[in-house]
Amino acid sequence: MADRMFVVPGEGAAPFEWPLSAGLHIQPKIARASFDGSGAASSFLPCLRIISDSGHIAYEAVADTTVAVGASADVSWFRGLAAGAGAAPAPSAPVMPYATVSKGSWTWTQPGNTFVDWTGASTNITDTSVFTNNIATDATTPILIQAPGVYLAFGSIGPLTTAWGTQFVLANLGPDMGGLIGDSGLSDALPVTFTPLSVGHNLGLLLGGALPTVPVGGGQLRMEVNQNSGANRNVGAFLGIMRLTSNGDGI
Amino acid sequence: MGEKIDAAMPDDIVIGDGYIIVFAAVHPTTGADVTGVNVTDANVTADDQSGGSVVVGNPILIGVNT
Repeated sequence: MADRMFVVPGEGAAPFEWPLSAGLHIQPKIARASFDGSGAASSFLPCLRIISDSGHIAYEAVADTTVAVGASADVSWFRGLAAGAGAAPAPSAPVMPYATVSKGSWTWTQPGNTFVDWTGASTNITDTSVFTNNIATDATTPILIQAPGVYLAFGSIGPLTTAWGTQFVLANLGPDMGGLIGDSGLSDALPVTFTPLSVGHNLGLLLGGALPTVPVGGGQLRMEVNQNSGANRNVGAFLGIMRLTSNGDGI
Repeated sequence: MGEKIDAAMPDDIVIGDGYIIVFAAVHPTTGADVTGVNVTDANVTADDQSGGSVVVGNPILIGVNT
């Protein structure tokens, strides 16, 4: 038999009742109502309640979404919708915790190797269960890793003046690193070194890998730079790390 | 026009005489009915299983030989 819509006559204060007419037997498929909460005593959850012929509550289908005091909602109840599905959630971006440190001005002493000193850097940590700020303890190791996962780190520094032998290293993430390891030493053979091609290029490097366990001491994410010749220079520096997944790469 | 909310309801429930469908507003933590909420434009789409609707076919003329 075809579905039939029953329009509930009138309107009224919740709880708003529709007693079924005598002789009527129905299997509800969709119910809908508008809730005007402009005079609500508190926030509320819309609820479809069925009271049996014995006067007892047979079922309550309560929406998951809270309607704020003063707000209104158009609510539809569907069969076949998983319990707890509630309102269709807004699309959300994948949650990838990350941490960044950024310093607009840092004096890069030339020549020789040095770790960027992040004292006074701007930091942004989205999840402190994954990353913590270590600048106050060791300004050259600004971010500690507190959880296993697959990580990707990025660093940049500049602007630079080209000089043969300029090298840049994202130091290793710790002795437990299971993937790519950026050696803390400086060598032309290192895969994570980069020589700028022209004046003004920033150096940018990627480093990633798996940490099956929490790295000892939170890892050693540092930015080490070297220029074999030239005068001291003032540069800006950025270092960031993101956890791509907490359970990839066999973790 | 308010926020659009979708919620679940049971698949197989048939209700009839003496049953009441109630559109209520309940408190998020206590579950008690919240006052001051007005309900409008309520409707229910359902499979009508009442016995009053009988399929009727074309009439058949029965001849009587007198």
